[in-house]
Amino acid sequence: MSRRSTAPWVLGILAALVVSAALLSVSLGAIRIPVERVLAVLLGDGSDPARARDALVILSIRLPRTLLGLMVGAGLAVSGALMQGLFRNPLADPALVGVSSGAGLAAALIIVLGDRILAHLGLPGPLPYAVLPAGAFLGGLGATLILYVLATRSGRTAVATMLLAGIALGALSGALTGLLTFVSDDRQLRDLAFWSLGSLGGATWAKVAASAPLILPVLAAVPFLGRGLNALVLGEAEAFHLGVPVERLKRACIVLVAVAVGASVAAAGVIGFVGLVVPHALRLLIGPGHRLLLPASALLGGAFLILADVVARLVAAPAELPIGIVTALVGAPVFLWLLLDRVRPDDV
Amino acid sequence: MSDPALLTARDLTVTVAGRDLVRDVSLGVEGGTLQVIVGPNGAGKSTLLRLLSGALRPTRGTVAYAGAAIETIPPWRLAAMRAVLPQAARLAFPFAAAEVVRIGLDGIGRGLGARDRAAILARALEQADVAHLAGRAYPTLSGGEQARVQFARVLCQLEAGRTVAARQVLFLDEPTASLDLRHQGALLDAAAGLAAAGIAVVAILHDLNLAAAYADRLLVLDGGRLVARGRPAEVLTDELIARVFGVRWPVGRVPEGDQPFLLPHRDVAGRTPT
Repeated sequence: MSRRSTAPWVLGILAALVVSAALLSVSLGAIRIPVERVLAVLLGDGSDPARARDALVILSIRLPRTLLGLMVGAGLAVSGALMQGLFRNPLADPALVGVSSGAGLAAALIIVLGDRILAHLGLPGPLPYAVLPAGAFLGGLGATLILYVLATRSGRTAVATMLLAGIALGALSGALTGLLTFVSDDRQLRDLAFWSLGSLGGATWAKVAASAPLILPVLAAVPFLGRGLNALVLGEAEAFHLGVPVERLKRACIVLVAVAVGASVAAAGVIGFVGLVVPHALRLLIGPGHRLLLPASALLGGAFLILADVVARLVAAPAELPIGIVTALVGAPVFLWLLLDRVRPDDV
Repeated sequence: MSDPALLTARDLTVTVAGRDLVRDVSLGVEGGTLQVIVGPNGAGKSTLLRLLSGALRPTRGTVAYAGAAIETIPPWRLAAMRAVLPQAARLAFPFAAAEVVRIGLDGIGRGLGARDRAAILARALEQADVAHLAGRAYPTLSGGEQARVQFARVLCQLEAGRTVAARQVLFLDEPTASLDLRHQGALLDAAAGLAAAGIAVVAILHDLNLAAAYADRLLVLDGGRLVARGRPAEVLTDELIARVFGVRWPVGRVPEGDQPFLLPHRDVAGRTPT
């Protein structure tokens, strides 16, 4: 009962956090724009010629960047929560089970070999820009498909197999990406670093428009999954006994995660640990029930990535830190702590 | 009387890697009875239960609920008609005991009002003697406490399901395995109470004495086959115990009535007589 009545409060507070983080993100940067001027521009008072520069910075650079961060963060955190529920393992993360690294490998292939393949075919370069994110998206889907096929026998998906196969696939992708790094030139090396550590630096309205139709439907599907995932916590047979169409639920989760993570990597590179840290922190604060955990993960994931991006922009200004470094600095210790905490109590 | 039987299984066979785990088992389950499946390790008891609950598809044979083949019944509808208490369930996430119990209401209880749901939840917690554990994190409970929380969850599912399905089956897979004597008795009392209220209860028990005390009907499985069925007083004989379980412990009778019992003991050489 208490959980139910606290849910609106939790979501309200997190929504306020998202708005605050977004305002901060639009306000801070190489040029600092006070929040009241941000609000003036956003609320349509951009006609004032004195504000033209502010309006330009806000509307064409920072706002798309903030919105992209919000979507990518929400998508990654929800994907993490879905995977943890699906695998019944709080250590699952899209980046740890091969989906992100599959997308990253596809990006690396295109960065390093794309122009050579074009030259080989006698076609004029360079590659159209959209090839890279599209390739990354398909790479993520491909990695998921491989995992799914490996783990599925006669219509039933063994999630433990999928988890372990994902770790192996992640290691393989990492090795191949490393090999590509070895044969790349300086410019490609810089691009690879961007992809493997992630950045919101290249955010444009076009990227926002390309990501929204992929990530937003995933977020919209979230309210329909909580009940099934709660039952799945008891075990697959128990969930079936409780009336959950288990195989359909698993397929739905896998597809949603593949789409959201693929779109995130395509837009911002491989950003690790968001999907791990955000649901975990929320479980400590609001409990493990998925009906609240999933929407709360979306909100906190968005806020977390926006704030991580602010840190990435400010720490080494005017240069930018890859955002994946910021999230990993926060996330890796949390992961270790989680691991230690988990080994202790009930494992024999 | 024209209602089709609540649950019928015909010629169930499950073959895995060339071995029959369950072989040619046919049985009927009717409301108001408590049937107990017994048998040695590997006899196919749990496999049979999974077939009857729909968690496993047979290699051959059919299972039907109220005349409808089980594979044609959607999961949510089936969940209103039968509930299953698993052997043991561990949780990776620290759900509170009451939240675990409430999961039993989440699916089929959706149509109920908040007050009805709260009442069902409170009754189930009380009946399984876990009301005092409601706020505790499930993973921190002992095995026996976890089993009772799961029983409360199953009671919730049955009661919510009763608003949709008039006739129900409850499956219990070794429900007493981790319980102390008092809670073994309490759980089986509750199961017998549900049977008296018209629910068909099918339980797997290892303890033949508990089985003899509570079963209206005993089903003996051996090597995947149903080798005996009937009232415990008829089924449990010296000959059957020796043949199926491989021990020579003579079957006694409790002083009042004809309920059989087994007293484990050693022979003069200090071993279990086989």
